[in-house]
Amino acid sequence: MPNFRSFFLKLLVLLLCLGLLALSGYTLVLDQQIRSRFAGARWALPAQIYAAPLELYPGLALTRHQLVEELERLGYRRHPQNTLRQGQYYERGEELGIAIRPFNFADGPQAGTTVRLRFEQGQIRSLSETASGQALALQRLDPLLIGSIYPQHGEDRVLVKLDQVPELLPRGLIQTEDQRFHAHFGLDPRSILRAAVVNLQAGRLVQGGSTLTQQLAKNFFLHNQRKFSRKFSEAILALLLEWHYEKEEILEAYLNEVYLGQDGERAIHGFGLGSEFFFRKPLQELSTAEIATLVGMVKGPSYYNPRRFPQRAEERRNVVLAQWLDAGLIDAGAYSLALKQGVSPATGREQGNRQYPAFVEQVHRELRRDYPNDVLTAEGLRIFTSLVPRIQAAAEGSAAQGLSRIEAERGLSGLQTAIVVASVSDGSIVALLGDREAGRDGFNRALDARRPVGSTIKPVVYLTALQNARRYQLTSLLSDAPVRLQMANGSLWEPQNYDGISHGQVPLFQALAHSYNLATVNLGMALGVEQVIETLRRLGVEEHVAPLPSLLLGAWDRSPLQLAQIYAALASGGYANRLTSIRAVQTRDGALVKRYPLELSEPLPAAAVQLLVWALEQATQQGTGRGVYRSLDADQRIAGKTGTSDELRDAWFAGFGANYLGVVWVGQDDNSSTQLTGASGALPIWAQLMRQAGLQGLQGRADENVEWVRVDLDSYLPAPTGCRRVLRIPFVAGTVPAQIADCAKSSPWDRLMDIWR
Amino acid sequence: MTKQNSLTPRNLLFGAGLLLLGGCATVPSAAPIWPYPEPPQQEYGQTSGPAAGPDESPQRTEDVVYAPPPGTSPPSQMAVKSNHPAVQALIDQSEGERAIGDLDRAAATLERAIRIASNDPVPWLKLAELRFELGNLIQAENLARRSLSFAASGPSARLAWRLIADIKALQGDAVAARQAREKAEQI
Repeated sequence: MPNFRSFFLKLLVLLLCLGLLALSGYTLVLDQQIRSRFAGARWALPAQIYAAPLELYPGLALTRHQLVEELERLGYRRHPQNTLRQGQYYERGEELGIAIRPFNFADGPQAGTTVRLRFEQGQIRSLSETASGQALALQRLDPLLIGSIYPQHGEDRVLVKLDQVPELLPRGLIQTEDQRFHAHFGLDPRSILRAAVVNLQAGRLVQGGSTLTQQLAKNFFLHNQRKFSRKFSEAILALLLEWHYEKEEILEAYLNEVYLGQDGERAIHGFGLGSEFFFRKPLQELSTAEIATLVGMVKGPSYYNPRRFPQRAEERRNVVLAQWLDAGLIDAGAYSLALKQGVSPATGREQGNRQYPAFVEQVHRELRRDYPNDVLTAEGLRIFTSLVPRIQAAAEGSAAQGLSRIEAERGLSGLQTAIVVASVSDGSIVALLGDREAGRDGFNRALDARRPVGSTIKPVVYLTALQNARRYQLTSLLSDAPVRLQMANGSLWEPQNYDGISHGQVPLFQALAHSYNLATVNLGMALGVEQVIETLRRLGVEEHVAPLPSLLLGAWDRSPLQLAQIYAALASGGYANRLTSIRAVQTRDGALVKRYPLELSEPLPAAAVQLLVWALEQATQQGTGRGVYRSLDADQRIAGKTGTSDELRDAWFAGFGANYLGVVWVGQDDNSSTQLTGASGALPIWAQLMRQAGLQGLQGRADENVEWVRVDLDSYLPAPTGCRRVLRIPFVAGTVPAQIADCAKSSPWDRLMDIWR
Repeated sequence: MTKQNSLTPRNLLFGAGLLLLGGCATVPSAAPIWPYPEPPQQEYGQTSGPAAGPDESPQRTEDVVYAPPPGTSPPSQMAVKSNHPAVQALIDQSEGERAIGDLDRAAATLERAIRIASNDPVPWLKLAELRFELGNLIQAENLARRSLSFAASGPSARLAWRLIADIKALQGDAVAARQAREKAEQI
């Protein structure tokens, strides 16, 4: 019996020791986890992507209305008086005041400032600093946050520091969630006891006794453990957190970690992102009511979601406000003012990557060349890009309206589109649309839909010819006669003109402007397909191109972005380098990681390019691109080319002015016929978009290697003074034909007139 | 980051409890790891040491790379101004950044100017001069020619041709250098 008792005692001690050992081991594991989470990487912080900032300066062609649109996009709020706080603007007549937010740009921080603008005739007339009245040469707005790169099904957050958040947020949070936060050691037995009593009385769970520290521990690690073990681990973790870290550190971690909802596959973590997501403005600019709404959501982020359940969210917010009033955190005035505010969050566009999915995808692909994915999703890099939200909005609007109108007029349905707009000066992408429905994230047609480019390839053929200036001028006559080509596989290729007829002898520039297939094939075969491919190389095409005659008519699959690359080279005279979307990358602390400087490629022969661009201007003046002037000012000189693939499957338009180039594709996802040509399907969208984007017309420049000559339109020879039907056409210097037009003999009317002279 | 554990009774008690539970925790290693594939890049040629000239250059000495050939004045000494006030403000700012040796920032500022008025020859020229200073002669020439494409005559064109002459001289192409200098004189 004593033996048995001593054995039992020994067993008990042994079990106790084993238990303690296991517990110690478990605690050690947790301790290491929590330290690595806190002291190491801390939060996996997605890379944040910013659009290009809007530069304001006197003379900028921007209406007051357009600027207000931009400010609303940036989450600035209209204010009735000229006493502005950061993030507000006021409007009076043609005057506008803006309290611009501070921002850390890639080239250094810019302090917040309040400016005043005056508008006149669709331009910014003057710009000055409000406080000093001093005129400003220019001023940047803070750029729009357009997305972030978070892991799949991952967390997204905007990091905040405790000393930067509104004072009411931490104090109100403590008041509502954990009043003894500053006194307890991680657990709060009193509150647990009180919660237990309340729950027992109510017969159900109405109150939780968790401290902020416990909630943080839960948010950190314990997403899907079973209830009991979770509570147990949570307690140990809370104790460990308090042992290692100051209250302020725990509080700051909480502010950044707390889960506030779900946006598709993206988890909204922290008050910083919560503020951006629900109210579209930085945390510093939240009102008392909005802070109370967010703090109220901590209790149940889905249940009190102000977007889905505004009624519940408002009730909860009012409870929180009442608590704060009782505790003296806010006064009665602020309380009643806050109660009057609606709870519904900012309406309008989706937030996060859903706003600009096609562009963000391109940014991500470019980044992947330089950075591994775990760096992008975890290090909080700040990515500065070239997206111009105003032009992106123009692209989205033009695509939606254009397709709806075309479908209605022609009884079509299911059309899709993709759009690329880039800057001529530096080859940066300013707008990208991969789906007719803006913000739909899926198949990115701008990047991944490769379709035959049709006649949009033709400028490459004609540029190849014009580079051989001795042999080919714009007035050289080409044969638009039928062609039959024996292909390598034995089949016979017999291309046709779009109208099915042959136009005989046509001058080179008209063959391009009117997009004659036969003349183009005859020209291309005379030049040699290999020569045309050589020109493609000089235009930046790196991959292998099969040397088939059908290339001359655009039987070549390209994505809209790839075609835009070729037109960027044409528009810039060959200078444009690879089209890019990224300008600079910063660390999360604002140190520069890398700048992507403006790089130019070696130019193409300037005179040949100038001749080609003139021919492309004729395409919009007299050829297939005429429709652009239904939207654009007829005084503007625009270069553009339509493209239509076999059986009207793909409709393209590609063109440029002085500042922007754009490519629009319209087609069906299943590659069926659209019944549309480039001119009827893609051109109207392109023109509408470019009008809204503020396309500038091309400017003719004197070039010492280019001679302008009056040419007779019957013989296409240089015209003496007597000729009446003439066109001024550019020639590469020294290549003007010696033969002069014989106008007097060519026109019967003139001969008749001569008799009477 | 880690708090100073002072020896208050509360902390002692707390510490003892944790020691019993968890034993001594390991000291966290604080060595920061550069999270990017490579350290921040400096722009081509912007190193603390002398910049290397182009490989084919027969005159590959430091002196030649930095000193303009005899008979030419550094282009930046000549005043050429943009008519566009915002552009000129940015050019002035970039000159200041260049003066204190922050060439990367000066280049970024000039790119801002180019985005504001992309057909203004002056910021293109200024960027060409900057790339020249950084030893990136290829880009300098492309940028100078781009500037010329927007203004074939006038003070900016003269400076652009002089810069091209300097580039050609450094590349050992005496003929092209002379031609470029003649162009500059003709303007």
